[in-house]
Amino acid sequence: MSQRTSLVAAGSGVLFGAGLAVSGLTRPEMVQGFLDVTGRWDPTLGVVMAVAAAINAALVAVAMRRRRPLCAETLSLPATGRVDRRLLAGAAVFGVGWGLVGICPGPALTSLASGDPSVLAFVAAMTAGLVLTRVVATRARDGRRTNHKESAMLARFFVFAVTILLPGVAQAVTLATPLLQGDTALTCAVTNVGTQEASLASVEMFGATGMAVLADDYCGATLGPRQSCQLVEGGTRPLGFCQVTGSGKLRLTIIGYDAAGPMAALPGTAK
Amino acid sequence: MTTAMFGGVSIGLGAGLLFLLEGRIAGVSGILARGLDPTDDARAWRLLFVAGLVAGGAIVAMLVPGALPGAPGVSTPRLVAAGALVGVGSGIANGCTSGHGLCGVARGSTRSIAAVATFMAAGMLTVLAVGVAR
Repeated sequence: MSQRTSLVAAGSGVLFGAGLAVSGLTRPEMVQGFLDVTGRWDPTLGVVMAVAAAINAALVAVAMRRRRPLCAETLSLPATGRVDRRLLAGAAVFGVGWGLVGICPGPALTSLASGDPSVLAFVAAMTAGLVLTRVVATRARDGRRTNHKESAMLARFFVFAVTILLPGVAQAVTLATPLLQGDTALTCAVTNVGTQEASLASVEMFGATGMAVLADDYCGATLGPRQSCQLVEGGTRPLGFCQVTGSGKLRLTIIGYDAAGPMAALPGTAK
Repeated sequence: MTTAMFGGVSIGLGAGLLFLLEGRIAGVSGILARGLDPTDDARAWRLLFVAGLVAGGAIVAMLVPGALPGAPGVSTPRLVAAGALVGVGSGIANGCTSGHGLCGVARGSTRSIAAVATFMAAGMLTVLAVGVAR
C-alpha cells in the first residue's frame, strides 16, 4: 500500500469524523429526534445527510465518468446484486439497534474520542457483531471445515481493542478530563425560559461553557429537547443559561455561564 | 442548522475524496470489519481511516465543548444489545448509514436505497415503541 493511500484514508477519516461531530450526528438525541417522526421531529440529520450525499455524489460522478480513480488502478465497487431477504433482514436488525440508542458505526467510532466508557461498550459489542457475522459468512462460503482464519481474526480483534483502542481512549480521556468531570455539583433552580416553570435540580457544572448534567431526580416534565432554561444556584445566584440537548438523563449545554456574576441575557432572547 | 450543514459538507468531502482518489467506498461498518480481517490484504488504509474518524472527533471535541456527549444515559445492557444489533445488522446487510445511506444512495444503488428505507423504518418504529413503552 502506498503512502499516498495511507494519507488519503487518514485524511478522509478525519474529514468524515470531524463532519459527524460538527453536524451533531454524534449526539444520539439528534439521531433519535430525526427518527421520532410521530413526536418532536428534528429534521437536522436528514438535511446533513442530503448535503453530504450531494457533495459525495458530485465527486463520485467525476470518478465514475473517468472510470478509474485519480490515485489508484480501479474503482472498488461492491458487487451489484438484487435486493434480497438477507439485505432487508440485516437492515431491519441494524435499524432496531440504531433506534434503540441513536448511534450507528461512524458516530460510534468518532465518539470514542469523548472517552465515555459507555461508547467503548457500544463499540466493543458492535465490533463483536461485525466480526462474528463475517466469520459466519466466511465459514458458510468456505465450507464447514475452516482453518485458522477465524481464530486469527478473533485474536486480531482483541489485539486491536487492547493495543489501539484502549490507549487511544485513555489519551482522549486525559485530554477531555476538564470536560468530562464536573468541577462543581450544585443545587439549582432550573427555570424554563419559555414557560417560566421552575424545578429544583442537582447540576454538575462542566466548566464555563461546557456541559451540565442534571441528576436523575430532576423532574424533566418542564423541559424538553432544545428548550432554553436558566440555572439559579441555591435559588439566588443566577449561573447562566443553558439549552437542553439530551433526554433520559438530561444533559444541558451551557451557552452562557459567568462564574463572577449574573448573565445579562440569553443570547437571542429578549431580556 | 448552518453549522450542521458545514458538517455535512465535511462528511461529503471525506467520503467523496476517498472514492475519487482511491476508488474506495467510505462505508464505516465494512471498513471496520475488513480492517480487522487478517486475510484481507488491504487492511492498513482501513485502520487508518478508523483512526482518522477518532482523530476528527477529538479535534472537534477540543474546539467545541459538548460536540461529543458520548452515549445517551441508558443502561449498559441496552447499550451493548444495541451495539450488537448494529454490528450484526450492518454485517448481514453489508453496510450501514454511511455505506448504504451516504455512498450507495449517491451512486443510485437499488440495494442501498432498499436498505436505507428498511433501516429508517425499523429505526422509526423502534423509537416509537420505546417512546410508547416509556
